[in-house]
Amino acid sequence: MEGHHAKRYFRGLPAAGYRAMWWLIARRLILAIPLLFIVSFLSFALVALTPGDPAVSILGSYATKAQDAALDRQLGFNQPVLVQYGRWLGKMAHGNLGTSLASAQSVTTELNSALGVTLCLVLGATLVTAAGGVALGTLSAIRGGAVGRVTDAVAMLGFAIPAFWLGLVLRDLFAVRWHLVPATGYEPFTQSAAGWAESLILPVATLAAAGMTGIAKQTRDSMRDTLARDYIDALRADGVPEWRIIARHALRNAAIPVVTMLGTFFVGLLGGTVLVESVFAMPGLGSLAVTATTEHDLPVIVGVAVYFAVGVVVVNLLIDVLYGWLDPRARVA
Amino acid sequence: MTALLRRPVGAAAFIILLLIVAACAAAPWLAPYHPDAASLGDALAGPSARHWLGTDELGRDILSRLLYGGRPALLDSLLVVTVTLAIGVPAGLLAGFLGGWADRLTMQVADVGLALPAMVIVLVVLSVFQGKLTIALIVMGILLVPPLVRIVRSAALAVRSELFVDAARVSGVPPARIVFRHVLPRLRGTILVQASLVAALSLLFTTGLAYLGFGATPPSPSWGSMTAEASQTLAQSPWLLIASGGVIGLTVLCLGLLSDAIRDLTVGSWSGSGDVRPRAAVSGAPAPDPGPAEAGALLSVRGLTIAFQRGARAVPVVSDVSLDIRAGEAVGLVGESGSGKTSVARSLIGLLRGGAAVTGGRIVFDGADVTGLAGAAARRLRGGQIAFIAQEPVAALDPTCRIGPLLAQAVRCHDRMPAAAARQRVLELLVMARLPDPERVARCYPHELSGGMAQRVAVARALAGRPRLLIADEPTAALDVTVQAEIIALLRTLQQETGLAILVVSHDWGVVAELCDRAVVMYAGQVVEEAPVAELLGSAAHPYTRLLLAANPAHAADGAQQLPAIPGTIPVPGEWPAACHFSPRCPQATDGCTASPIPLLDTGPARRSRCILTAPVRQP
Repeated sequence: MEGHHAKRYFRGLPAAGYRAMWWLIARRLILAIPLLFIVSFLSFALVALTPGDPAVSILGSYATKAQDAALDRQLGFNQPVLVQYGRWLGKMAHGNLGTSLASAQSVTTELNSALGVTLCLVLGATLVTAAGGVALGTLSAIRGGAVGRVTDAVAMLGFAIPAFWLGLVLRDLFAVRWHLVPATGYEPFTQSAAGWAESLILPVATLAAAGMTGIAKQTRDSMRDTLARDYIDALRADGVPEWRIIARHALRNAAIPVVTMLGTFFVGLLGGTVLVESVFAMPGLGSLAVTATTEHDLPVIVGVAVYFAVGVVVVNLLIDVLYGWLDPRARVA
Repeated sequence: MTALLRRPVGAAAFIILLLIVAACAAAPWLAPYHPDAASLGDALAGPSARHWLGTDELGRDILSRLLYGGRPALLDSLLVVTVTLAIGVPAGLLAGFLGGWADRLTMQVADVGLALPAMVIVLVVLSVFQGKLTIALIVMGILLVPPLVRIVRSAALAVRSELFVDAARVSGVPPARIVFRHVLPRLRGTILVQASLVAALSLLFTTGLAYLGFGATPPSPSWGSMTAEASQTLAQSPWLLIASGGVIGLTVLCLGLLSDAIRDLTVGSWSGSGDVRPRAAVSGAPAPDPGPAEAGALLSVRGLTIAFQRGARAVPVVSDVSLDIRAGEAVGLVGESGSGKTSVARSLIGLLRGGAAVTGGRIVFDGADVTGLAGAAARRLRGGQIAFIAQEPVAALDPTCRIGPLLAQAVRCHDRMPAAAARQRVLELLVMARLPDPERVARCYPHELSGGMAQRVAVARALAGRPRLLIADEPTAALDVTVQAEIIALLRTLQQETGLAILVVSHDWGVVAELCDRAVVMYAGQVVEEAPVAELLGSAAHPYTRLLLAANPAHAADGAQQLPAIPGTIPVPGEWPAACHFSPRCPQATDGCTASPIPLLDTGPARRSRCILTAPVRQP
């Protein structure tokens, strides 16, 4: 009875903690609105600055002036940019991002069919990066010496090697020469789970390589800093086993500064996925962006930019929640 | 610059970088072939005397193409770096220097900018301005501004608050002049570090674009497009891929290393190189036999010597310290900071810091030698036999862990019990430490506690393992005077109620007088006097003890009287005088004090002193 009574006080956030947390999330959402506006408006303003007529580039130079004008009217290119932007925003609110100029398909349909590939790729890379980076960094902080120097060297190499080049090398070695995994393409999970996993291994490894060593280095420095704190010695004075001090106390404290850099890391990952999808011919958002760019397909490329911006907003929100969970002091602010 | 050249890695990176840039700039003179000169007969050849790096699928010389291909890659990056610096440095400087709304606005914009997915934005630009790479590069430069702004801003903020800037402002120097004459030069290192990082990033970025086919138009070469070409012929010849990717990687690597080297030079190394863990053993001369432990004492320290490794040298911080604590007794360990008293206290539970280690002597607890204990045995001792309260009560608490679970963990380290029972025991401990509303305290995070509450929590925590000796390192130094008295009273009550022995480390005679039966005075690593507290306060034998007592605020009449300070400073470890450690500061020093080491001699019942002026009393 008494035990049950005491138990309540060890579980859950106090009510004030929850309120502060919701405030944090609300603030982030409010900050996200200008971001989405800027991305979409910049994209649109750029369209207005387009030298030449989009219709000409779609229909080619053999179409008549009348045909060009008709298409301009049909696509709304003859109206002022702000009107075009307003209409585009109104449609976007209903999930309509326009029609692809190249394929005449709905942009949302095209993007959604590519979204899964990129999500798998980016989520996979994030998991591998975070888990691998934190493990490597912790090991390096605890063992020090040689492991630390190797981490430093590998981190520098991981930073220096271009992702597309690493992808090409991995593809040549593991797929072309040793036939361990397919060289290119993507197999949906619904078709074959094994095929799906195999098609993801190399792209995820390529994407994770650069970020993992960066996170490892950050974790190492943060962990060293944490292990020198008074409360670690106080835990040792309690008689707590060393592994438990690291797993339960040091890791959580050391993760706080690492989590704050995850947002920047994720933005970098989105850039990397454009190159990596291209190397491995994965039909994701990145490949779509590259094709759209070569084909001058504005609605599609603007759509990709909006999707990526939403992705960044969602990830920043998750990071804030994670940050608040890790550091109780952040919930008060 | 000369300092940079003394760092081998940084210097090598700088020289390689210079060579790469110079070679690409001089491509028309250096390249053995025209970059587009095809020779189908030589297609996909490996390295040879005629083609040092082999040829591509059209028989073009790879080395020549790399030399020419570096020009767009490097020029593109140069453009990006120029744009980024031209916007980022002034913006960061202004935000940091002006502060106020300019700062807030800049930071808001930078925050949004940080979240922009740069690669896709550049693709948008490229799809609008088809083939106009320059515009895309300028946009890329702008997108790399936000991180730079943040770093320049915080550096400018730091410089702004420095004295010489204030002085210049007060004397009416115009702000623009202050920024350019005083602030900017101080940020040179930071800006150079960031410039080479931005250069590295933009090189990766522009070669990536070229790889995707948005770079120089074929057939003219660029590093990125050569990598793309290499991927087509990879099966036949890997040379093109190795060469093109290798040169990009090498250039970025050099920029990164250069950035690291400049950072180490100007900002100081941030990736710590020191070992956190103390070294296992420090070599030193074996101490003389310290003599047997006192029978019946709970803790008996004999001839304890502690040293830390400074380079190849072992520097002693504590030398030949012996002391005993009987069960239920309260002993004070007194001295100025630097006397080695905290090192003695920490060595008792094997938690020495900063690479220090016990190099001689014995620590016997309850009849068992516990010197240098490790692993499970050390864990059982810590908390279970000897508890330790650190000086800073809040810093000793994990900021991410609630008090309840933290104490429950300490309880369960020593008594195997179900979680519910441990929670109940935690509440009992908090009550023992006289914490009001223990259930609320158990729910609190450390930042929600006051210093006094945190110290009570530390006391409760120390009791978790039912120890027999409690070591308190300056238990009241971080607290208000009223709270100090409460904590002392609490420790006193616990000692009387539970028969706990206490070792109080303090520089405050008031604490020692309140709490302790006996006091041991330390100076520069040695015990200089030991006596019952009452006797010590009345008739201290050692000149140092007398001066220390006179310098204590608790003994100053009413504050109107100026405290007599001890002249001079305590010598740092490694620079101790050969004979009496206190002789350089001692008003009564004679020639005999500097002749030979002074032994610690009995001067009465339960009294010892290390001074040639205090006549030893013969034991009956």
